Amino acid sequence: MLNFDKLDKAIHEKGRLAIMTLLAARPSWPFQDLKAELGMSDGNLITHLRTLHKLGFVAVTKEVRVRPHTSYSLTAKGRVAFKDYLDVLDQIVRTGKK
Amino acid sequence: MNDERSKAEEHLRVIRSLMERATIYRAISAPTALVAGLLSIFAAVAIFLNNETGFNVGFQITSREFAFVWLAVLLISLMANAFFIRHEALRTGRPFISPAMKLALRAIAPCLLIPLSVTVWFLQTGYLGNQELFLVAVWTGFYGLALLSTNLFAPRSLALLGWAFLLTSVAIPVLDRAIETDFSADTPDLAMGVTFGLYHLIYAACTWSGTGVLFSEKSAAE
Repeated sequence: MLNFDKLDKAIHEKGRLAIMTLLAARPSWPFQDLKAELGMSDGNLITHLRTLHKLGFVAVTKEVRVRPHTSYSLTAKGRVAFKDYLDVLDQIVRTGKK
Repeated sequence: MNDERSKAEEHLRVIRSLMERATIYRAISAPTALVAGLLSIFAAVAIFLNNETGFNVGFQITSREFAFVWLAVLLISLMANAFFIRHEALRTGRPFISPAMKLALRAIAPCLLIPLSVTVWFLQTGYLGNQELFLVAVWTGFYGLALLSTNLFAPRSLALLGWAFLLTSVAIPVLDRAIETDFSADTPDLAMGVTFGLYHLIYAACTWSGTGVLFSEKSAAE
């Protein structure tokens, strides 16, 4: 039976879920835009992004224009993990309705 | 079981809301459209009465003044827009210049260059040739294009507003030649009243939250 135990714990955390959702919505997000959208502190956001990066869910692109510019995007693995996460949530809702 | 289901539903709601926030941006809010619409109607009626009746607004509205009046309407509408965006940002605890707003400004900016240069030309020498209708066609056309440039992340209502402006801009010169009336000299003013006035009021009425949305608000990206 499907329940919350089946959900990917790395994504299920509130902050990381918000990050994954935003990354799934657009191809790439600059760090500052992510921070502004989520209202997180630098440290908090970096910690979550590092966790997701270590898991291979998030890709980091660093460019030096006038200033260093770091942007984040979802990897193929991250996109699949996020889709699986949504599928499990969807299944829980459907099962509950039956 | 039901507890898990409601938790899952809540998670999906949060995800949906975050995704919409990231993918849908309404460059013109309903209150802004209402202010812009009312101001435009007021300006159009004042100019019309000044030209056609004894009613006088205090100064002669010639070609150049026509442009100045509408630039004043634009300025006040932009200030109202900034006020409403700031108010919404404070209410929701989000930044005034949000990432979505930056994205919209990047899309809109190129569409404003030609109307800007045509306006400068009009104020310098263009007004001497009574080119108001040309100015109005450029303003409405490029305003429509600016709205359509946000099509990928704008709600459907904004894209429809963009199309209405663009098609009207195309129709203005054609209709002006086809329909000769006693008020032909007022065509630029009437066109501004109809587009920036009436269209904005219709848009405000259709999108005003709480009064019901007349058409579905789905992003073109969906």
